[in-house]
Amino acid sequence: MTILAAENLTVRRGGRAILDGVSARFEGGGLVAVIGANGAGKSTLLAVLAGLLKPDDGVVSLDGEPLARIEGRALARRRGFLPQSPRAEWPISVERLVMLGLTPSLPAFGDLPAELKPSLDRAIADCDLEAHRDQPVTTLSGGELARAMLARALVGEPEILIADEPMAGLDPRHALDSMTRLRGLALAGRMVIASVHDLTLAARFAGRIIALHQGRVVADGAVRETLTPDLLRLIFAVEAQVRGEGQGAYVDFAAPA
Amino acid sequence: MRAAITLISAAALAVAVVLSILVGSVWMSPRDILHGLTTPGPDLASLIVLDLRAPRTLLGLLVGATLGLSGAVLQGLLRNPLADPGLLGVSSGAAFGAVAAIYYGLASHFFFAAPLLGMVGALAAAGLTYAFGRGGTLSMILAGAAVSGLGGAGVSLALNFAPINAAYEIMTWLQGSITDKTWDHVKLALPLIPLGWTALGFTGRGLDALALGEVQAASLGVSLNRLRLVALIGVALSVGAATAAAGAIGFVGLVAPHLVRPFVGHQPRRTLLPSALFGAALVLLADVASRLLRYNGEEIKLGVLTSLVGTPFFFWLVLRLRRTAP
Amino acid sequence: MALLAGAAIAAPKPMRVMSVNQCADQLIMLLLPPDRIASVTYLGRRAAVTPALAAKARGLKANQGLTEQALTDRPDLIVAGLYTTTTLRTLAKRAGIPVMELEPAEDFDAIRAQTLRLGEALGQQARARSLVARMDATLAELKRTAPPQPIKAIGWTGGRGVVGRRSLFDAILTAAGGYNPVADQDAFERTLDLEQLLSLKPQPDVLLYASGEPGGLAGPDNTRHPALVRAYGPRRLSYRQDAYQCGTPLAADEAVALRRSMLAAMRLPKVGLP
Repeated sequence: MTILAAENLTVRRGGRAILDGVSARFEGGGLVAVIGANGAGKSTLLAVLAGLLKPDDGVVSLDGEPLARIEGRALARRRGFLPQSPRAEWPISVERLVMLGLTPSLPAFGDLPAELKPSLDRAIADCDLEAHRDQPVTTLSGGELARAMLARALVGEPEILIADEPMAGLDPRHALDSMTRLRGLALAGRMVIASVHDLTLAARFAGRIIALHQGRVVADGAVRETLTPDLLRLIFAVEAQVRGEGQGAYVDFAAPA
Repeated sequence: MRAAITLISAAALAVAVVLSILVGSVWMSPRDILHGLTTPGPDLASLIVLDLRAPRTLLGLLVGATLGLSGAVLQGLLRNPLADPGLLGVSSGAAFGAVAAIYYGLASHFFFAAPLLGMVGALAAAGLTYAFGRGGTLSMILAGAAVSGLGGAGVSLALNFAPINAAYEIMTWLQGSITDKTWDHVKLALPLIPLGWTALGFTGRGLDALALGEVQAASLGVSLNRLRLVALIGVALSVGAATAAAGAIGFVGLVAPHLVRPFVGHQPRRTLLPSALFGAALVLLADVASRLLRYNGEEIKLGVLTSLVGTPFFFWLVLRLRRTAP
Repeated sequence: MALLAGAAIAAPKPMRVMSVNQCADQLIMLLLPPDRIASVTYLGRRAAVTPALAAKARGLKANQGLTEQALTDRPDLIVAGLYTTTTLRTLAKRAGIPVMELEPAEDFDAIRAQTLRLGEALGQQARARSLVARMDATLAELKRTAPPQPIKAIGWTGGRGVVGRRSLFDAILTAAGGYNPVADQDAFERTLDLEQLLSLKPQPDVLLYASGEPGGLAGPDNTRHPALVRAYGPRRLSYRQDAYQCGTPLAADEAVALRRSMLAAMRLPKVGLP
């Protein structure tokens, strides 16, 4: 089973600690939602967990091996990463875009090896992109682009998927769709860590919540135990509570605290 | 589609090569040429074809392919459709080196002083750009601009103090030309240019990944620092040698990638080869045109012609970008 | 031809003369003793055409042709070329310093007239007459010993073309016994690229090309193009461009030197093309 462990992560920028001694351990399947106010350090934590940012202090290890010691392509094969609002820089086709997710497995020259073709087809089918396969990505709608990027992140079948605000900029329908897909992946055994801005979506879909406040973990656990009125007041400065259960859960904001 | 554009550009290049051998201020029929080449001993046809047109053609091919290839690499690396091989300061470094050789009179004592110092200038400029610009795309562009400015200032300084003959020679060199180049120029450029091409060829996979932006490319295991370094080395070697041998030839590196990109589905890696072929064809065709377009009997300089033809394209590109930009 | 700018020349025999033109440098150094030369141009001082002039130039003051230098130095006469700045001419006139302009002398008649006229303006008539007499004697000797057939010679400027008829170069070449088979009657220069040069029929006997001042600069590199070396072999002769630029009585000596090197080249085998 895959184990991603963060120990005492600290990242400083301009004398300020953006992450301050964050430790967390991730094992096997389950959707982990990282929540927190703007500037709480969510994106920084995800970048460090993904091995894209070196912490000033602390270490992230994958199955006991520090990320810094894992070769870039080897890490990329095991861990997919989706930044916030990803964009394509050229009007390449959806198929090409998804194929880029196989970059860490491709030889330096030449086209897609035949044995990787099924993965490509599967990722395109799984994300319902068959109809858009040859369409330039710059002409996709926001929801379609998000699906294409997800397919790109999944095509290499990584054990870990780290996504920064996967619902940012999406309308409710597409946001729900994205979360459903991420939870589906998690239930199928993949480790999925996503920062989530929308607390209702987090409450409904996440199996575990990590709450960040001023660079520190202030809560880590199941939805019921973490999303308490006290915690919401602390990190968002609002009076709110979770009502309902499971897929019916929602966050009821009463007033600013 | 993709194979088609490679074939089309290869065919265009073949036509350009044939024209470049056939066309000149002195008309020689293919039969004269064939006769001259097959009979031993020097005659006019073999002299003109082997000593004048052949090195000129080969150098044009090397220079054009270099400009097309490095233009495609830089546009992919910087994800900027207006990037051209001069962006990293390499061309202006080469220009400064060559101009210094002319200015100090080294060029009149030693035939190859200008191209050799040009290469030294190109490599020094690339080193400077890397020293100041490593670690980020924007800082690389800014460092390139600063190094370009430095090279340009050096050239102006030399022009400022140069005696009239030297100033004339510097101006001529700056205009860019492959007229009357010799096999020695080819020999000088030949070792470095393919080395540069090889380095540039290795950037393909990384450039593709960069279509997703820097963060996603990095997350896919692409080392951006290494990619930038390899691209810079490739540009320094190939563009440096090309500029040193032929002077500054503008717009080819900017235009060639744009001409082929739609045909390869805009995939950066796949623009490289057709862009190189097209760049070579463009330079050779422009050079042939320069032999035919005469004013008072004098050839128009290759670099002047490419600028004249390339500028409207640039305007078109700006207009199109303005229309499609958000 | 020498022009006197205005009738403002107060002193009939100017004492100290300043030259702001390279060709004027040579003429006043030939005509005047050093103590009457206020200054010559820095270029003229550096590039000396003959050893004698070089020795003379070493002791002289150099100027950069700047108006300020002319005004502070206050020479009695400024000798200028056609392209001397109007600022210098206007201000010198306002300061009461006469300016004399020299037009380029492109043949021996013009050299003769200009030398005599300048000699008169400087009060050095005898010196001017003896320089001209020496030149004429040299030219007569060249004519007497002329080769039976003119030597076909082309002055190639490298890349651009050949030197035309209306030039000092052509005058010197003709005096030396040469003949330019392609130059147009009235052209200063005719465009002729390397391919056309190689295809000239019949091929000229010798190819002349300009070399720079010592330590200075040469023309474009393709005067040394391998194709030219192959077509002309050792019959490629360089001539010193600076010596062919100024119409002075010394031009006759250049013709003597050119005759000598052309005759030597004619004794070498002609490489040529079939």
